[in-house]
Amino acid sequence: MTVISRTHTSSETDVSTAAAPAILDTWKARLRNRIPPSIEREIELYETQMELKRRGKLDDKVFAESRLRRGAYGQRYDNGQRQNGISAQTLDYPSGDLTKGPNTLWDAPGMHRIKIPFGEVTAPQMEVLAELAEEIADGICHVTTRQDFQLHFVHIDDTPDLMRRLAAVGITTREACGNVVRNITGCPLAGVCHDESFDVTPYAKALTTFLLGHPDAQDFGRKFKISFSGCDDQPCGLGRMHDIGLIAKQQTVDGTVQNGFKVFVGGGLGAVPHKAKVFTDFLPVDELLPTTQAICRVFARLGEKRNRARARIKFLVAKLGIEEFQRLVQDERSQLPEDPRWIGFLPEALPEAASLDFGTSNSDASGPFTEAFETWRLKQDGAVNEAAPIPNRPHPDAFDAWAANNVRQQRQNGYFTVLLHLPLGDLTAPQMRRLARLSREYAGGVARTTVEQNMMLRWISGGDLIELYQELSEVQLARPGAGTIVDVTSCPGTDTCKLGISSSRGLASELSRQLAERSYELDEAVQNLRIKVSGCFNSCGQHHVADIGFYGVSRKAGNHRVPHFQVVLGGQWSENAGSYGLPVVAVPSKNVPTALTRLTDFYIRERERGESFQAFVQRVGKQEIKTRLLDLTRIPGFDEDRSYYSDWGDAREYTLADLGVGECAGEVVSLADFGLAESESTAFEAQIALDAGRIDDAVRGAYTAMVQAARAITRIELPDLTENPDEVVRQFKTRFHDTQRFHDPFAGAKFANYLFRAHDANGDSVAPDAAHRRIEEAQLFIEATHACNTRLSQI
Amino acid sequence: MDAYRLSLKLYFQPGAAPELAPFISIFHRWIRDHTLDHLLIDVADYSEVPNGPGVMLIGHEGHYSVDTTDGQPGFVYSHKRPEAGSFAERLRSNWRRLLAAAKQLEQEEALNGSLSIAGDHFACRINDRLLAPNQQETLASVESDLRRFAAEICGETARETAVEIEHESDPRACFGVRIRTEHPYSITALSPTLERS
Repeated sequence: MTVISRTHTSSETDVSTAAAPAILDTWKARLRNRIPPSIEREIELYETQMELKRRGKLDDKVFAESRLRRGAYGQRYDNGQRQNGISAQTLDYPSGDLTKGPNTLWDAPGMHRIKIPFGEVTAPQMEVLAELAEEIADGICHVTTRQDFQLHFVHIDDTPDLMRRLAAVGITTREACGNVVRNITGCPLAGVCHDESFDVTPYAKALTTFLLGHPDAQDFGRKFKISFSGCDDQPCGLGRMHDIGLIAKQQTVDGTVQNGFKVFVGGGLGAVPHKAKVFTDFLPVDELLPTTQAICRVFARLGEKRNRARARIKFLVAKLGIEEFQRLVQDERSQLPEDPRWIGFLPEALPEAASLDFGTSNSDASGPFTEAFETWRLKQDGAVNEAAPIPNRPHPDAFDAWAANNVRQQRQNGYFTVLLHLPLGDLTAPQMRRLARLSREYAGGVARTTVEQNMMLRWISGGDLIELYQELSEVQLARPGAGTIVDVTSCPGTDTCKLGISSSRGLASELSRQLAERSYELDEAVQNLRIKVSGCFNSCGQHHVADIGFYGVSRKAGNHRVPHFQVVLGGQWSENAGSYGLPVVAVPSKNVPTALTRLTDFYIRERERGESFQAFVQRVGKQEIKTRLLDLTRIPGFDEDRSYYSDWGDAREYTLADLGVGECAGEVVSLADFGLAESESTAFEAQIALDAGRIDDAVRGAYTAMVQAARAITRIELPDLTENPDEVVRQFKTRFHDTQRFHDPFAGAKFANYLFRAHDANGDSVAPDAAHRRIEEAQLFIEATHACNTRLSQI
Repeated sequence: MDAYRLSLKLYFQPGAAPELAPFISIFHRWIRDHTLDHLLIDVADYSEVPNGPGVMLIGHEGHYSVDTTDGQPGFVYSHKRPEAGSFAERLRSNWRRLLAAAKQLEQEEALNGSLSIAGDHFACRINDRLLAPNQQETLASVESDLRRFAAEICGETARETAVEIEHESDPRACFGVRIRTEHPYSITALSPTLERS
């Protein structure tokens, strides 16, 4: 046999996590020195909880909320049942009945959501996302409508290492899901936009850091979404549809310009959309963190916990009225103890943002470049090449069409933003790797995700635009039409979401394909319309704020179901999602493309000069529009045309039987339950330490577990209780032991005394058999705490 | 080599890339009918992504896809779950899975005989940067197994076959090689050598 081996060497030689020369057995060992100890500890705790769950020692709901708070979501069919078009089919996973949450099987593939605060992602982060997509998912990195990334078809066993690899490049998935503060979004043009009051980036960064894991943001009844925008009239931040929307604003006081925010509160889409109320017209930047903290505390204290359908803050604001809500927040704010983090970020944030202000109408800088900018430019992780105009030289034919919508001049002369139009928010791992390299070569080593499921490169010198276009074209990332009607936004819908009713991605893909085919003949007024599709009424595709929105519904026809979409009109994308549309008529999925063509043709034919689509809808009236679409609502008989009875991109006969219980709402798990789960994990780790002969670690672990359990139960009455063991034991003794509320009906104070003895003996050396006893006592104390918690909840 | 996340790709004949749409109904039917001998879960349609995984058949142990991720259309099996055995044994078991599916595809009426696989080269990737970083050491550790495997799939006369292994060494990519055989291998049947192994 003749064997020839050839190696093709790439020009890229930087070392990524994949290229380390020494092979270590685990990612944990490989990345030991690259992950902050507190985050490694978090991941270890999660692994311990996984092990406890496998052994049946952790409650389903507690584990579900715990994984959700780390970004590990369920996916469609994860209950082990799947409709095959004829009947329900059981998916026989090897782990059998083992679950990772209520009615959610362990082996069923899941989705992992990865938070990208304000959408900023660095080149090393992009590379790790690409690696994870290839190795443990389906090869696709998916950008969401809240600037996150999602990986699909991930096995839960792979999630701890996923978290480690992300943590090593500065990404946490903590609080990506669950009833917590979700990804804080921000305008992708922040710092380079012509319209903004100031760059919101440092404020979004500071608020993200401050609220991550903050004790005041752990006890919500539902999720909590915050966004930042640089101006009031553009859509980029969508402030009016968020729980808190922060819009940069300046005001002059005694001749001094102050930066602050117009604050909206209580907005939200979903089944019952609410427009946010103005909380204050101007909040100085040094009040951003404490006021947000106070809002979180009021929401945690007064927000609905039992009825999840009414647990978002929008319902609390509506119930109390904005004036009363403001009063409660101000009262809470006045009682908060000072925290140096409130203003600690300002000295660094302000000069950095100001350094980008040069050669613009907003700047008082005398020349096109300032020294501060030059310093900023040179310290970026990738090249920010010197500003230049777009060269007047021959370029590819398609360049102009691409540049027309995908390229935008920055506030800074000679620099441009480049929007990458990702179909349905998807890009492959090789595309992501190429993007990482291009960001290093042209864009300072950074890109941003957008709420329209695209990505943006910033700080592109005009002189580089043609080369960049050519490089993007090589990996099919130079798709034109970003931000136009062909750039359709969609939630995952029935493809992977347990709540999906109709195939939003299937429809979006079809609409995008048909529109792209005739994009050159479309009127400019139509080109600029936004289409957004959701698979159900929950509006993850943000259909309420599109010019033309669709959301999935179903209708019965004879003995069959037919996928439909409601046509939603009247929404406003600009002015930070200025108004919400309403459904006009439900059309069978397969008729939606025709309905869209009729709508746009009607608009082109009958609009008045300069009339926006929204104004047109208002003028002609929804009844008239409905009448024009009415014939499209007719469903052919099953035997006449079966195509109506299956959805876009899905060959099976349509059914609702695959609908599951969504995990968007998370599980309502009390602070006490969470604390007890943590104490059980610690007790379990103490056992491992004992088995390994680490006696001191075992004893310390057993004691820590008891203190954690005592703190968990005491926080029911004292939510702000510190972690100091002396204080925890003192408060526990006063509130639960001395009042005999912790006493066991038969054993009295026996279990509480385990804690007190361990506390008194903390630090003493003990023999292995005594360590064993201490662990047993810890376990009994935790059980007693569970029992006490149950008794209290029954009162 | 302990890595189990192996990916094997057969390439379609130049100019013979099939339309993606029919694969959606084919794969749904395979799930319904338990066509392959492992747990199949779902169909993922990424046909909108250029040079992507196309249409995927998601399984518990691994995924199948009609794939153009490396710029060339082909049919891929990517194994995902831990599996016992040596690297060589895993190569063989994954090849069997890939061939079983490819053979099934060839019989699909909806494809109208359009599926034409070039039986003289295939690709192998190890989707595990921890155990198989894309470097020469990894190539050295698996090359003899790959060589033997390439001979096995070509049948009894394989010892006379010339095999070329091209290694794409971008350190950021997964370890991957393209293997060319002088004589074609069959995609409709396992070679006798592989059958015996």
